[in-house]
Amino acid sequence: MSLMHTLFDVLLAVGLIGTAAVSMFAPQRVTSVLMFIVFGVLLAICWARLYAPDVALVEAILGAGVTGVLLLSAALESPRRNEPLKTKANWVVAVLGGLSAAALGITLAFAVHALQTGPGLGADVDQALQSTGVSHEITAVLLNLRSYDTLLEVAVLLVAAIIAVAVSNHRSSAGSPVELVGPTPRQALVRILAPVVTLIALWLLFAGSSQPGGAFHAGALLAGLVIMLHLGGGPLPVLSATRLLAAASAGVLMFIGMGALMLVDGAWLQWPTSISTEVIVSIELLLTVSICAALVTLHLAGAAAGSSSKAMPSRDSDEPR
Amino acid sequence: MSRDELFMAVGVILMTLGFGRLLLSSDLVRRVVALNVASGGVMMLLLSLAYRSDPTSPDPIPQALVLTGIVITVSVTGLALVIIRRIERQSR
Repeated sequence: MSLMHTLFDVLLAVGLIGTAAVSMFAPQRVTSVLMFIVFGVLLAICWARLYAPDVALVEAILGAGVTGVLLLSAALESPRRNEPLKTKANWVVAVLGGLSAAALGITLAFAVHALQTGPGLGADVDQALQSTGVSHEITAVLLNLRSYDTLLEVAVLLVAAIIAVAVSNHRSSAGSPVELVGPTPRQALVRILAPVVTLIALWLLFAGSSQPGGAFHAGALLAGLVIMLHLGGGPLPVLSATRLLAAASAGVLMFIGMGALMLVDGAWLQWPTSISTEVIVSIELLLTVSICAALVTLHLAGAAAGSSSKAMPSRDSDEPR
Repeated sequence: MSRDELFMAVGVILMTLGFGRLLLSSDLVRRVVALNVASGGVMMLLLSLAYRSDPTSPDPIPQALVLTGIVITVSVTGLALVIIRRIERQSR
């Protein structure tokens, strides 16, 4: 049994390095991106092997899924790689770059080798778990013990979405909607998947308080669903940039508002034990919407930035229907 | 070699490969892929450390940090690709 486990780990390690190498060195962009998606799935399996089920779920949905779609649509748009820079200093760049990477690798290897095993913070988290309002450690850390990290994280996502819209939106005219004549197999598949994915996302959201799951898992899964709807069924005119950014801001603003409300009788971002469950669940509900909206914005802004004919609808009045 | 040692070594290799490719590739999409591979290596180091602290119930703090890291990586990737597609549309 133990031998089988070791064999599996070694195969996983070889697969990870192999897919990473092909994704970085394959001549075609599409090959590269497809191998990266395989790499993402192997990473998710690796996280499960390291007893990190929450990270494995988010990696599979976000790291392999959403990142894969974003990369793939960019790669399909211009499949050929850029012409390499033809300068006389090319070999200097190669040598310097190679040396820097080697130096980083050697330093890192020594640092990792010298690391001492400490007891970690698991016991402290267990001790504080009673007062956090949730029984799942990761959710407790993300939304109570280290909520500042999470607030700033969703703020980064929101800022990325805002910049993406600003960069992509070169014209304010709306894209021409594709005329739909009966469902194609892809649309039919999306229609079957949509309710199932919505149900799983909601389950993940509420499961987060006692087991692996939470706002990030649910938001990312819903974003994947909306991206599938967009890819399978043409433009979704209801998703204007204004509405998406409003939805993306809602969670962040509510998070800040809740944090500030606690200043009345306590401290910034410190939930009192008596109401912490309610606070965490309400923040997570809105964060799910925000994360979904910000990720969808990144996808649509990418499509708009690459296409010369279609722009992301900027105002509600610009909508085609 | 135990599981955490194996994956720490893989983490260092991924981080080094990704960082080197990020510096040396002239293809913009390839650079984004390399950045993602390098960040996967960093995450592997953090999660291996969490696992090493207690293999039966790993330290939740590094796991929460990695969760945050994945979302930040997707934000960076999404924004970078929007800028890349805008650049390439103009040069087409």
